[in-house]
Amino acid sequence: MKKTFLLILILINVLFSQDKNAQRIVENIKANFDLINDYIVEIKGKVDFPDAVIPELKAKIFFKKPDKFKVESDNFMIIPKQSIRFSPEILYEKDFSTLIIGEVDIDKVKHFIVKLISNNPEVEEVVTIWVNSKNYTIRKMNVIGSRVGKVEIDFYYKLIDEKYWLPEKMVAIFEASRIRFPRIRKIEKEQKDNSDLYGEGKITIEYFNYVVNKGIDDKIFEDKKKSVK
Amino acid sequence: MIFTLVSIELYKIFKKWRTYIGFLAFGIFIPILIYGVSVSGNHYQRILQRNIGDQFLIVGNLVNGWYVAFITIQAMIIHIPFFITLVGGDLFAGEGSAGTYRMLLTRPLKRELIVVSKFIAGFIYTFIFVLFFALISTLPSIYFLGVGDLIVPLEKIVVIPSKEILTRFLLAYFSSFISMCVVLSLAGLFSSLVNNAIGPIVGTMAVIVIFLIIGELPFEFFERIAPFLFTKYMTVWLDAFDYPIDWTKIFNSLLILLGHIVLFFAITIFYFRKKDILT
Repeated sequence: MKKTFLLILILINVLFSQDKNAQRIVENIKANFDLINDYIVEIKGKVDFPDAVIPELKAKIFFKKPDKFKVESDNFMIIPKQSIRFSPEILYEKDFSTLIIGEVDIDKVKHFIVKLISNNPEVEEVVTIWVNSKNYTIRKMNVIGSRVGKVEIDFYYKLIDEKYWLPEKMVAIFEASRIRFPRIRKIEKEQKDNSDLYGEGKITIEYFNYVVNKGIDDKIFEDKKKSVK
Repeated sequence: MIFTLVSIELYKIFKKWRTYIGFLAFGIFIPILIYGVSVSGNHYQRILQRNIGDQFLIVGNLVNGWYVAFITIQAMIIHIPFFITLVGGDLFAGEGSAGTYRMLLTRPLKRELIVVSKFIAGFIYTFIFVLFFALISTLPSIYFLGVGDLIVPLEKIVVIPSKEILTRFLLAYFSSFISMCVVLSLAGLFSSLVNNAIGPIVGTMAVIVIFLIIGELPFEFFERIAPFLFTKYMTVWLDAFDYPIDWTKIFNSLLILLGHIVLFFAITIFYFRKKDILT
């Protein structure tokens, strides 16, 4: 009886400590991004999508705390939402649970694998992040949900102004069948069967010329032309 | 001589009110379309947003003037040919129903010259109509809805950068002009066979509709026939919106269409030289 009680106590302690560790990791990720009050960056992107030809995209992203952003572009573009705050949306919600599910070495650096699950029963997406143990940046992200299917995002960072870890490249891979472009003509059955429509889509974004914490006028975010906010 | 004959034929064409039906129809329809699109807002972008908005941001003005112009150019498949046949079907038959054949052919002119002048006048009308259509579908829509990249949502989704769009549309309108010349030539040929314009108009449209249906039927028998139907190449203007442009395909399609124009013209001359005028 005593042994069983002790075992349960140890188990609860392990689970709680793991939960605390996972929360600490999340806090560190947020703290990393908290250093950034605003930034402006130029991006160049490429969308590889089966059955679609989308030219190379160029844009400028403006971001200001807490959640103001603007993507300025003359061209049509599709970019993952995570390309603005470099982290999953759930991280900025209050009610979610975290769980460390393992550790793995990526580029010879230890990474924590953390699962983020919303406590809101209506949110069914499960997010897994791979967090660099040295600088607490999100190296990899995996989002799974019935609407979005599976989205995998890889981030590659560089140190800006010798103090801010910000991505220089982002690669998102997603299930092409989940992205439905409305069409004028129906796809012929045979073509649909033979096509790669059910393959993978890929969006690659490269970031250039970061301007961090130099202040951005709020008026920038009011101009709706050529932008998405 | 030929200049005078063409001028007379043009006068005959533009003297008839039916010539202006197409101009009137599109002159009324396209402003309504632009108004509808501007009132409905960015419908395409909303659908896209609903489909992928959970994970992706969509940037750029997709439903712009170019998009409206692209929607309207779809009318080249069936609607514009109808307005072309209204004139083409009347080229020769109009003389028959008006009873002017004898007067025309008793003049010291070669019959071949009459056929040439009627075809040239028909091509000029076709050019003016396509030009009018191009201007009315692009200029007002660009003025009211602005510009941006063009999304071509056909079997393959193609996004054409704004700097390339004008060239694509010029190519598309030129190709559709050649396509419409085929329609006019066929209507002209049918017109030379009879003395009433209704037959050639209905006949030409029937040929186009039947050929289009055959071309779309997913059966092996019809799939073998489809490459021999000129309607398969009439949609060559769609290839102007492919990425990258398949120049060989466009060139071949245009050559086949030009071949049909020559063929219909030659048959008309062959028949008209020996045509017995009884009216």
